[in-house]
Amino acid sequence: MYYFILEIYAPTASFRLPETHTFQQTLPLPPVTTLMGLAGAALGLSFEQAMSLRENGLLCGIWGRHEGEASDLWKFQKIKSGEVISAVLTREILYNLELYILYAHKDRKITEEIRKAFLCPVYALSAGTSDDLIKLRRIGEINETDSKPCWHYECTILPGDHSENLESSIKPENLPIIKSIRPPRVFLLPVSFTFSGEARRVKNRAYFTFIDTPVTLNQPVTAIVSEGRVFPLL
Amino acid sequence: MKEAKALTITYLVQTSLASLNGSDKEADNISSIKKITCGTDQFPYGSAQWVRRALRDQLANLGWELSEGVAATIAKGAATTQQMPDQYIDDDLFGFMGTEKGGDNQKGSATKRTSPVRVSPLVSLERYMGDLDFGTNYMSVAAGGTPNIFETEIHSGFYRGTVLVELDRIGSGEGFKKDLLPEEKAKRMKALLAALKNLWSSGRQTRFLADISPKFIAAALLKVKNPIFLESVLPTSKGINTELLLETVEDFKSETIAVIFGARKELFNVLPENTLSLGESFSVIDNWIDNYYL
Repeated sequence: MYYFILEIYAPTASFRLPETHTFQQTLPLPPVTTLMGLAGAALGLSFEQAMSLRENGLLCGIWGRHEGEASDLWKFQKIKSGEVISAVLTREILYNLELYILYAHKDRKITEEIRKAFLCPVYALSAGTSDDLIKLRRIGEINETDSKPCWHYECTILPGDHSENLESSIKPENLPIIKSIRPPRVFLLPVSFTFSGEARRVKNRAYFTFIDTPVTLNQPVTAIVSEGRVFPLL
Repeated sequence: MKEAKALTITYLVQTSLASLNGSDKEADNISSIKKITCGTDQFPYGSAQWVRRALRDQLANLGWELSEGVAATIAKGAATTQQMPDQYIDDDLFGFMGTEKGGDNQKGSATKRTSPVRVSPLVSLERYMGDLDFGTNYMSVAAGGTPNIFETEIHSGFYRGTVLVELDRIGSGEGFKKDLLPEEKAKRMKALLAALKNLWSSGRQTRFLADISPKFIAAALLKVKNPIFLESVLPTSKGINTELLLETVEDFKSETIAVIFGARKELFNVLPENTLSLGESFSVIDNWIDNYYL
């Protein structure tokens, strides 16, 4: 398996839970569709083409954390019964996001092609909405490794529902007095779509467990370990 | 210059007393501002859509006709613009998304243009200290009512924002049947730069006239689409953190075609060497644009 890692900084980010409207909750980390979309934007692909990257064997992994959050109020014009009226929605945003994204493929040539695209992306990259600008701090070299079973995770996304398969590894007595901690959260998210022109419909969904503070699994999950971080493969 | 793909400008604005971007009410009779929560601290910010609105308004002030307020042919959904980027500068620079109702037994269609101008929120680098402006409304007294008290959250300090423009997508691509002439592309880009140089928002300005035009800028013409100064412009107690800026310039040397720093010089004691005045620096960026398109 060949892989490379991107080091990314975003002052703001928002990964909207699909099918939310007037209160748009954000996921704490970019889901697999966003990660594929990011590679697609770098390559200059449409979303449909970007999603086919995954079907063609591209794997990804994520490690990330953020410093703060906000509930951003949007006022916009909408049409109701043919009339334009004013409406509001609230969108959650993450602040000062630091991400390490891993892309892996068994074919070295494909891995190289994707890495090369990140060196000069066709479209500007963003962390959610088009205004959530990101800075590519570093594009790592291509390495070769085998994935292996791992038990200890933090700041990442695990494939599947691991709510019954984990124990918290944090020691409250070692934490600072003021420190926000979040328990693991499980989300059912789209992983593939059917496309008809500009329209798309969800074809398949899968469970993902979002891990913030350290956890230990009873049954391991396969991951790539690199630069001191553990990346479960999605 | 012809090999450029993007222009990025990270800028600092300084407010003395402002209530920039209104948020949801948190308490009765208090007008809140948008804030990001980091642990026990809160940092005021103006959202990206608020900055976009400010830029659009400034383009209108500069004499450009805007493409706004048009209802789509569908019965419900978000309102949209005219979606004519060849005719309207804001459709070109800021993109759009619209849906059209289909005919009998025909599917509807969607049109979109991804904005070639990306705008980050304007985020304060100093925390919110809980300051409130106290006011009393006497309007109803003459009619026999009682005065109403109200408070408004206020804040002062440096705010940082970034703009990234995909130069190769201005005046072409999605929404265009034919590319604009290079002269028109350059004209539109320079209008955007003028709007940024004179950035001004309309919210709560009647009571808190706030100047949000840039006071320091770090700009780069790039071979790649990467906002390299995104987190690298930092004010210090003496001026600007020059080491951080120069390290960034060095790190991205091979991706950068030209770099410039501009400042309202009397506001900062320490600035990077060769920093120009704001007017001069925007003139230099205008020249980059001419050299790229013409």
